[in-house]
Amino acid sequence: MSATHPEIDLVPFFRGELNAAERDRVQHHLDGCGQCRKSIGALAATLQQVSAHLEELPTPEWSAYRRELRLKLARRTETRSRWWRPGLVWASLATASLGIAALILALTMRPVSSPGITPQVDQLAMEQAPETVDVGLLRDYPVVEKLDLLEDYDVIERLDQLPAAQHNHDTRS
Amino acid sequence: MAEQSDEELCQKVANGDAPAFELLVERHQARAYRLACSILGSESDARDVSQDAFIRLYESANRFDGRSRFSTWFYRVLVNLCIDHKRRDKWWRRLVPLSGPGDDPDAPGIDPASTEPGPEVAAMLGQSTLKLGAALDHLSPHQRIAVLLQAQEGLSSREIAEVLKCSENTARVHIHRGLTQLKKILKDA
Repeated sequence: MSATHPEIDLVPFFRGELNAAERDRVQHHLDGCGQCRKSIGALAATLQQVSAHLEELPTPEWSAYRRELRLKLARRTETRSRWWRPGLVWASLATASLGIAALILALTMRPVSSPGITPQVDQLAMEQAPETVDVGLLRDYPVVEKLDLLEDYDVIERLDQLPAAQHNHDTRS
Repeated sequence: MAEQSDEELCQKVANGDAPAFELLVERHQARAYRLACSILGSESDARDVSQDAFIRLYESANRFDGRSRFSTWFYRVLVNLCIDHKRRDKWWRRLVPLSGPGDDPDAPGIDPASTEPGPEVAAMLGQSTLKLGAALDHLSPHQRIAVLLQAQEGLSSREIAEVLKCSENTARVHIHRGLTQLKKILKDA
């Protein structure tokens, strides 16, 4: 007797579902295994009991059942044919087309940013600068802008040589 | 004249033959209803769902390609509808509980999948059938469907595997475990 019982093959065996090789294998096992022989009988009996149980279940009055079914089928066919009426199909198609057209219009008419108001690079840099960075100098930008005058170092170096400046100095003293 | 096979009738239904449809319904109505009743545990649900399966058959008979038996194809449709119905019912009951916790502690729980028959039905059924109905309730849905299809329709493991969309070995396991559990429950009862 083999150590493993062909448990799941027992029902297919007594129902004649197995091929020749499988059948021989199970038969060979059954010849030497009383437990499986007992099991196969019990399984067959239980299956028979289930079958009898199903037969005993009460059933409806079949002509009424079929009448109800015909009615359901007719109602369903009617609903479907109503839904597929040409007028309704055209109306649905027209509505769908209008919707698509509206969507396309909405997408194409969407305002795009004009090049004139495109933010400058340095402005962007300012906007992107983290708040933690000290921007005191940038905050006083107008003052810094005026300091551009100082770029003319020649003038600054010779301030005392300017006649008007000299004259002003004399009159004050 | 030789009796037409289910497959031939289905072919005719696909071509809009109403009498062929009537004949197929007559042939399968009792088995379809009983199977649905055993899976769903409610006569009215079984009536609705089995009728829906016939409507589905009428509408999609042209999709039956003849590679499997008609009964395998039809019971797959029916079982799927039953599973969908149970799932919907479960979801709906979870959303709108008919009896809230603590409403009535002595009231029996509402179990849509229960195969417990009503008092009138119980009176009509034998004791052993009642026991078996209750025992079937303890099986997993797949085990129950596999056992019912084998017992009622005589579907093979391969055909049950097709219905349940699983491997043949898995179908064999469902059948074996289902029957073993049933045997144990009936013995203990």
